[in-house]
Amino acid sequence: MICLRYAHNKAVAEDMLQEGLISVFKDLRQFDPGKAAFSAWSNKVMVNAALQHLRKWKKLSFDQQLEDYENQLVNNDDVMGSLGTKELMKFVQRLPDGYRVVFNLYVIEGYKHKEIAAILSISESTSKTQLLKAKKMLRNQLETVLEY
Amino acid sequence: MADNLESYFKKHLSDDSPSADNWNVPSDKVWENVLPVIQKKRGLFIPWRYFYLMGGLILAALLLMLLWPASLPEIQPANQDLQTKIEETAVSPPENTQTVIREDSEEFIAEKDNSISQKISTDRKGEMAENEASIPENTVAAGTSDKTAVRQKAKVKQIDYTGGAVYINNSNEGLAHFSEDDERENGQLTALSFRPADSIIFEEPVFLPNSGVAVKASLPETETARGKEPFDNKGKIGMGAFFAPTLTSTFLKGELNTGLMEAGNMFLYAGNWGFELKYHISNRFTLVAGIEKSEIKSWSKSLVDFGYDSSTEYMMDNGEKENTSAVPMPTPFGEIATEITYRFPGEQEIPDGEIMQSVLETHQEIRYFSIPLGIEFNIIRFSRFNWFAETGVRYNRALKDATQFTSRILHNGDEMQVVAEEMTSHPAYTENYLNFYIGTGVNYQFSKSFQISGSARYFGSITNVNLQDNMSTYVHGFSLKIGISYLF
Repeated sequence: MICLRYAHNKAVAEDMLQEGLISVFKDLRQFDPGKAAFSAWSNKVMVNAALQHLRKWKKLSFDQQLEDYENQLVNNDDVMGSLGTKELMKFVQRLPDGYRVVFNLYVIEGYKHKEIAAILSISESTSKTQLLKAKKMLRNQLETVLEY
Repeated sequence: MADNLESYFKKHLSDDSPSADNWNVPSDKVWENVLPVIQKKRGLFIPWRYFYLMGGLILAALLLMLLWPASLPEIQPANQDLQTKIEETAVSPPENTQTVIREDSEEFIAEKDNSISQKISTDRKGEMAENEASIPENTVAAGTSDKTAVRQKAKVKQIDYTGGAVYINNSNEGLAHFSEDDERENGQLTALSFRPADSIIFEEPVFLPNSGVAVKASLPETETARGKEPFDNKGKIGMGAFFAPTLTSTFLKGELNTGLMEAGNMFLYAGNWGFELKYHISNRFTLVAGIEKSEIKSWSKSLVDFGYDSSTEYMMDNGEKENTSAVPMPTPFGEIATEITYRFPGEQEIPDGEIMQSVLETHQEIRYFSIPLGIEFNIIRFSRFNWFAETGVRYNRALKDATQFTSRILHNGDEMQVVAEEMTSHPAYTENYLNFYIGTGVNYQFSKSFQISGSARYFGSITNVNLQDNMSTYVHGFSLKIGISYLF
């Protein structure tokens, strides 16, 4: 699920997962049971692997305009029914990389903007802007589906 | 504070439980790819630390080889016994006398003459003349067999000993070595060798006839003395062959206009070999040129979008749909055209022009005819070993290529079953490219004519091997070169 949230499709998510699993095995010695649960530690490794994958394949861009992506909003048969996890995941996956990463780090992982700024080497204000734009885009998608 | 939207997404997306339709369950391919890595069975991947380890081992081996001969105490123990014995019975030798070789030591003399190969090889008249001229006044000339007369240059003191070989160096500077054969040939006395006195070894105390002189001390081992005199290769030309196991990898600069491509640090093995000519400009610098068969190999992964063409779709008897799409795929060596056939459930409708995704993984190699041109610099010269640094450029002309690939087709993130894949065009790589090399190694010279060498090299691109969109492909690699050459 972590990788699906950070990728824009399942294939990329599987690549992230693959790299993440390898990292987990490689860094297993660094895991300290006294500091955190294994699931929390491995989740963190997975998030790092996902970010690393995004950096490697395509530089994360934080200066994209929302307008560039509004035309990507499509009516999808999948979301006509009740909005389940799969549909919400697709909404998130449709976000531009920068929006998606900040949204995930802030909303799901629970990082503060200051921490996100340090992780992604961006300013706090950029992190806040990216989150706002991500939420705006998600809200638009939800509204589009509900209107439909 | 989290608003409703945040809470709504967090609630749903934090749920890691597998769904009924397995949309959030990874395919088996993930484990298939992960397992070989964590079991360390991917032999082609060479982490950097193994390179450092290999380099360290090679360096240690070379140092051991260099230091080993010097640490062998072959002569000293015997000499110490000899020394004691001589001192008990010795008569004081004349001033400056250091070395005598016995009358019956013809074989011994011959053996030592052979071991001192370079100076003895100075059968060229110019050098002989030079040697003769530089013989000090107190040097004694001697022959090496019964047939060889003991001769004396005008300025050389003579010892009257005609029964065989006598070697004496009164000057502590050198020893002239004359032969009857040369005298006969040239009509005059000719020096065959001129060597330091301390290059002579004797095994037991010897008395000089007609002088009552006994030699008091032994002299150092011949090889040790030779250490001061490396082979003189100046002006020589070497011709040889070499084998160079090489690990190569591609790396990319820039970005594709469409699609994504990755070429990781996957170093792949190539067995290069060739022939080379060496010209020893001096004993320090050597020019190297040759011809070589070289290869570069590459692994890559690319992701591209393509439009679905429903006109080629057809329904199979088993209710599945099948289609074949032409997918242009970027690779490090240029774009290749592929045709990929895939199947999906019959009830799935894919509109014409729908964006599909394809993931391609390639292993490629290009074979080149190469012409290297470089220079070697001898950093440290020993009697037989040279430690050298080398650098140069290599022109490469492509001869042939080979590509193997696997592909995946996805629609909205759902993977389709690929049943056939075909490459319909070869990559359009650059046929000519230049690279450079830099390295270090050692030469070992068996004799004045034979030399073996080993070196470790790093290769890097000067020009790219391919340019597509805004992305260039470069190659780098490491090789161990082992060669043998004949000097003439």
